[in-house]
Amino acid sequence: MARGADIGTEMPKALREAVQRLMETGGFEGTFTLARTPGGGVDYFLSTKEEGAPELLPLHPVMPNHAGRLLREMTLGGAMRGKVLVITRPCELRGFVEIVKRLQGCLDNLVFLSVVCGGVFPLSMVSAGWDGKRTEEYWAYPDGRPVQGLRPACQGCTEFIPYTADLVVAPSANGHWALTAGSEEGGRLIERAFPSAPAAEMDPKALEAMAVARKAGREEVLSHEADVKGLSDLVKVFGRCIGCHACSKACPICYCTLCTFESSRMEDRMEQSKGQLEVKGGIRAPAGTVLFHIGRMGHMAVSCVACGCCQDVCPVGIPVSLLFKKVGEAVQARFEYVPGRDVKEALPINTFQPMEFKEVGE
Amino acid sequence: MSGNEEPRVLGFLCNWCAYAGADLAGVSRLQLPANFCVIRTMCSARTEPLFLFKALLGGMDGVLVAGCHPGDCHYQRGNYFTRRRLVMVQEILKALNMEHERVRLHWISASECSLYQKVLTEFIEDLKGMERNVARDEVFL
Amino acid sequence: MSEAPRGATIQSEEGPRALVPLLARALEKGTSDAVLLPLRTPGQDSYAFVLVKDPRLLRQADPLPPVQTVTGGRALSSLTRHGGGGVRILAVMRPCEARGAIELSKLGQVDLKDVTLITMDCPGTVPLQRFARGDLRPSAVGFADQDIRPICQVCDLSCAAVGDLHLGWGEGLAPILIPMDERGAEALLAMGLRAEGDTSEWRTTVSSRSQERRERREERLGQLRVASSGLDNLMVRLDSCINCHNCMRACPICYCRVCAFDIRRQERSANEVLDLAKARGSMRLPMDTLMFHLGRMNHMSLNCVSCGACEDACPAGVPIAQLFAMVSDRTQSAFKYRAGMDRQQRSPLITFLEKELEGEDGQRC
Ligand code: SF4
Ligand code: SF4
Ligand code: SF4
Ligand code: SF4
Ligand code: SF4
Ligand code: SF4
Ligand code: FES
Repeated sequence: MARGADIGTEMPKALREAVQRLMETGGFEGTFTLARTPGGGVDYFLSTKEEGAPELLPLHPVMPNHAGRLLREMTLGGAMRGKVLVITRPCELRGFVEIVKRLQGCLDNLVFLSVVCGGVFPLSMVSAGWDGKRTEEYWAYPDGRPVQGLRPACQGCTEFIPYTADLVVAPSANGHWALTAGSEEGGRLIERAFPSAPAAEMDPKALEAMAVARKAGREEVLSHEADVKGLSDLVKVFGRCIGCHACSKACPICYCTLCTFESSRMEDRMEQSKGQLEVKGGIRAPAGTVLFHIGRMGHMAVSCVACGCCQDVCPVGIPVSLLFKKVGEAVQARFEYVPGRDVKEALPINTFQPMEFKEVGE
Repeated sequence: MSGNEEPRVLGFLCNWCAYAGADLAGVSRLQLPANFCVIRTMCSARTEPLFLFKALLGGMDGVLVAGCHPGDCHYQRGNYFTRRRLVMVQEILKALNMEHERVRLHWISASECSLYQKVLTEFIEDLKGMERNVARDEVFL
Repeated sequence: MSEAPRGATIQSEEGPRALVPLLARALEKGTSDAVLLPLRTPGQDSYAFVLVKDPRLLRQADPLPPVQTVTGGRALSSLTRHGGGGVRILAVMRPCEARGAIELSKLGQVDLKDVTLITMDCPGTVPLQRFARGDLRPSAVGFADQDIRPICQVCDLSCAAVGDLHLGWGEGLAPILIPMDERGAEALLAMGLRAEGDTSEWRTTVSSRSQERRERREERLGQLRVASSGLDNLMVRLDSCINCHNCMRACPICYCRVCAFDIRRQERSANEVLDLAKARGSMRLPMDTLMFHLGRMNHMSLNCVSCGACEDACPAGVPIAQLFAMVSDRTQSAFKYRAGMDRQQRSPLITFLEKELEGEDGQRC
């Protein structure tokens, strides 16, 4: 791999400047990044020119939408014509790779810049207003000390290093940050953008410190409400679910225009409800809350990237992403699969080995 | 199960093998449990995970999926996919501490009527040792 | 009203909870098969609508919970969308929820044939997200509470007796059950009560409550109208919107299985987006946020019942129910329509008169 370039210590300014240089020298037709909205919030933009562009906020620590979902919507019908620099977090990139495996997105012409990720704050923080000081404190995360107020999904995220990004922003020695290459394309881009910057590499010590903190965080976040003990706990956790399905709409993996659980075959018919009413003495209306969540796990847990977006949008604060993370990890471990690790790796349920697993459940 | 209540079991049987095996068991007058409901599928791979979850949440005490032996699927590879899906379903149930023992997958060919009898009887015996599925009485599903 | 309705006063200190034993009595009598009403959920941290047949379940019932989770209209639609199947249901809900059910019945998505709607004077609900977080979790809401949702604070139909049977109550007002039609009278009888009491006290209370709310509605929505007039200002009101469409999914009125705007989002190709971004310098994603909200207003503001479910479900803090109220008050009054108030009046866009909507100079609108 090509060398990495030292971009200095002052985050997020250093990052913004690095992105600026890449845009100037990389021959991109556009940049996909977080930026300031007219009303002072943050959202994704596809930006093509400097003049009139919103203030770019690459890797600002929130996730208003999952970038993988947005990229999917764009490239569902085919590749992007011109080269675009896409700046996203690792779980967003992994989510997009998973959807590309399902033939619902296209990686062509997209050059990815990602980061050794410190996590993001809850969505609710965007609408509550942003304190600039928070951002600066945030970027101290490579010391491994937990950042207060991050989303639970991020506190427990152990997959914070991107797998397939062309460019990776990473902590380097002595509080410096490096722009490192994850692909040959990335290497060329760095050569062109930073011909004279001092060389720098990822600092393994910082990665180690982060990994230790995240492992502890993972234990912690999975130990409360997400630690369900059977159906009666599930009924409790999802008792307050309002059935809005925001979780599945925010999810980068849920890939259907018409979700099974919104289709007519899942709608109740009074003829059947009557029987249930007799047996149980009562039925929830709308029914099927637990079936929706378990059914959704059956559809996408193999690919859950634990991005936390589902939980971010849940209006009643159900720990959806933690539950899905827990289940996802278990399923993925059984198939030795890491979602989004490699676009060439087949989805576990789309492939098999003739000589594996015996009969199931004896 | 408490008292002399019998577990209720639902089976998804592949048309080309297990279903034929069940049929043969009937014709051969083998002793078979009564409270076993059969849904015939054209291949074990037709049994999507949602069917299993729906059966469990609908209150069935056990769900059996039975298909052709590996290598013998009439659609070549269907049962390999079934096997992976069942592994996935089991992992989901285990992660949620739900009773994964209520779901089973077996390979039963068209001629194996006594294997069919054995599988079914053992499954029902095992289910008798468990509590009645709480989903049957749960209002807030 | 030419002849003032009469009602049955209930000797109880409990307000709407006084309904519970009466509902149990009606169930036991067998004149109804089931009751639909909110029950406390097993985690004891929320409420959900349950169709109850076994009266023992009523122990967890709260006819008027402090928060609105799923609206009664949606609950009823999930049960009867494909026909009520002859099950006689007593459905207990707030006026805005019942109005939602009535609008849905006009759209063929609720079957009211065997349903007796029971409504209640409603003091409002607290914001769902604060309730869920636990920082505002009262066990009940009263008419003097200040913590209710902004949309409730301007609800002038909070005591609209749109049900077949209506419960009047409040501070200094003993609960009184008032049948509004034949069906309500039958239900009252099944509860073992007679409508012999005078309702004038309730009527006076309601009219002063409503007057106050009406004035506030005009004032606040007027302010919002000024603050969001013009595209730029509207964009600012919608700035934090992440275009998740959750408002649409929580709305009892949004009636489509696949929303037109969920399909549209996927019609834009990458190149189209790139071209648009090039033409303008940049493009916010997802696109079409404004289009979604304006389009949705177009589809359903005539039927919006100001229930606030959209705002409760919005993860981005957009005052979406207030924006819809602001618009729908206008669109509905243009057609002399108030959603859910009159079961006989047809939804404005599926009916017309040869000569209508003309200004004094003969111009349309
Ligand atoms: S289920 Fe939740 S955490 Fe998992 S990928 Fe989907 S949105 Fe992300
Ligand atoms: S839950 Fe299943 S059917 Fe629904 S959107 Fe997700 S993957 Fe599709
Ligand atoms: S977002 Fe929350 S309330 Fe909505 S369906 Fe998902 S878990 Fe339920
Ligand atoms: S738009 Fe909002 S306030 Fe109006 S009916 Fe729908 S959910 Fe209720
Ligand atoms: S916005 Fe329009 S298309 Fe979408 S659900 Fe509502 S009424 Fe239907
Ligand atoms: S108003 Fe709120 S709920 Fe509606 S699309 Fe925007 S963010 Fe989602
Ligand atoms: S045909 Fe029997 S398992 Fe596929």
